[in-house]
Amino acid sequence: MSTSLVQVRDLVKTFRQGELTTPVLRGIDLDLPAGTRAALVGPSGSGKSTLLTILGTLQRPTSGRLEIDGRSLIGLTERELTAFRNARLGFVFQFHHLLPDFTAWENVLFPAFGRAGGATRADKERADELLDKVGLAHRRDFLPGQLSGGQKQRVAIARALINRPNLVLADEPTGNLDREAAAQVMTLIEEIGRSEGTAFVLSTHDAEIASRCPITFRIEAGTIRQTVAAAPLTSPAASP
Amino acid sequence: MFALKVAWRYLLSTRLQTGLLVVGGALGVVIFLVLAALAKGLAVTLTDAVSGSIPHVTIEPPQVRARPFVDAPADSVVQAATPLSSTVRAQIRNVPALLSLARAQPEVKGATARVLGSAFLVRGESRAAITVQGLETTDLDLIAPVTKKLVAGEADLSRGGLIIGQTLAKDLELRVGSTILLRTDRGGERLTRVDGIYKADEEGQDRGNAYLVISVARALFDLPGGVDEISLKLHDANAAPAVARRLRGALALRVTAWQERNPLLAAIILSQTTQTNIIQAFTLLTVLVGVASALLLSTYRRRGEIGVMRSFGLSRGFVATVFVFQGTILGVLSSALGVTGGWFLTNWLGSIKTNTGDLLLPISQDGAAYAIVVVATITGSAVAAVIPARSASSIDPLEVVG
Repeated sequence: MSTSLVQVRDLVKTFRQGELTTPVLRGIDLDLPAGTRAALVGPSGSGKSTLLTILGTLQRPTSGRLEIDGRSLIGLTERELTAFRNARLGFVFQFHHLLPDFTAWENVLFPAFGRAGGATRADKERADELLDKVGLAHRRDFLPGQLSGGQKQRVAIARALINRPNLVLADEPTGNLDREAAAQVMTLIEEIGRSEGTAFVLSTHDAEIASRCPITFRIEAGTIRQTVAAAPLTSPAASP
Repeated sequence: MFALKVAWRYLLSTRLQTGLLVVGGALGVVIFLVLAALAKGLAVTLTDAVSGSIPHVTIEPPQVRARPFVDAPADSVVQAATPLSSTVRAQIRNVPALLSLARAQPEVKGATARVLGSAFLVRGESRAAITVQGLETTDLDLIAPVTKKLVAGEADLSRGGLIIGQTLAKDLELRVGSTILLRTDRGGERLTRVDGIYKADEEGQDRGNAYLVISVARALFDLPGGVDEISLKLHDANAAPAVARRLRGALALRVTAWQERNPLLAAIILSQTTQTNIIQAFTLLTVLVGVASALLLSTYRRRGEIGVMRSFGLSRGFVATVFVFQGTILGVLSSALGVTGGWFLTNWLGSIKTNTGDLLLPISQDGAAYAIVVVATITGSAVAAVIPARSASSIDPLEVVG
């Protein structure tokens, strides 16, 4: 067993509609070490989102192997996958997807209720701690509608981290933000990745965001054509 | 419980829709309760009207079987026949024992022995066919209220005279103190006096009924040692069939509940109750369909949120529970508001009087209906939420975040 947090071998995903079959992923191999950041780049329709959702256990591959944190996820039941997702994975979406009827603090705490027994006092304290970490302690009791786009995305990052996941999957996390807010969110991801020891996989079209990840997976036509291990960056302004 | 909090928050976030649902549900509950109160009120009124002036249970001698006067072969000729006794009447003789037994029943308010018979009141050329009731002096009001309906004279059988209805008095131009001849179907005659005149609710009774002390009635109707029937009045007229059944098992006599003598009334009440039940069921069904459809719409509106919840590992069961709780909360709020509104409305409706001072509507609060409607609304709303809950829990997070 390798030391990779995520290990993917010969992963294939084919969509079928009637007689029509559309291969989207054609034998992906991928290794992601723990605690790092990886950018998933590629043109639209290349299979980025499909790979991300398979890594996130939201859909199953047609064939191939997928291990996260040493556990094979092929063959698990839906209930087991749901529990795994809750305990080990975090998600950040392009459009934040915060629950509009709940405060920032409640949104952060929400995934903790996926565990048997619900949220503990420690979870509640961690929600406060995470809001503090993303610089929104003063917006704790605000509803999402009262927050800016950047603030909402920071809450979404805090929410992704509440259950101390090993891996956070972020689908275009800065895609809906202006450049300044995007840079702030990226800096936050870097800081939190370091302090929490959490690995991030970020799907992005933004070369500047990708350049801030030590690893880049480039998908083209359903295969990973290029894996680049970049040198650590010293400033957000640096480019590949 | 977090699912309850989420359910409550969802309901609060669409206050107008939630408010309308609760008010709609409450109106259904109010309609249910008003109908129940009207149905019970009507049943009580009809029952009181019919059973108020008759015995609830009667104990009578076994019915005499009709036989041919002469049981002779068809080809024979009967030249003479003499009945052994034409005066032997079916009657109850062990009166004190039967009265004791009857009064020992917990449902029995009172029991009295009665002599009943047909007679004519004759005054000059005028005559009127009447039914005479012979009663103990203390039991005058036990079966039918006479004293409080008295319009002239005294309601005192011990004076030995008659107490008659107002219409009968008018027909025969009788007043208190008038003397009149009473001739019974057993051949007894007595010149008697009118001691009291009362006004019965029903004209038939007012015209054809006369009360007499039982000792005089026995003599007139040739029943020196017995009575025609033991009459029972119960605390609750509806208990009559059960009491009659019990006594029937214990006695070799004919025991009849008042409902058996008035089958049409029972049929009317049953029919009216059935109609009410059907309307009530459809009212509740309408409420529940409203709850189900509103929550189903909510699942479509919240599709994105549900998908996000599922994506970060909240189970299908959690999502389903949120929607079932929403249904339950709607049921609780609707029934609480409806029960309060229904109680006030039925009380108000029950207090409205006509110009003559009578109550406009026969309203009687039905405690069981309150319990039924609360349980049915809450349980029904929770069950109605199951379809939306299943729909919500089956949302694939990939549809939203993929």
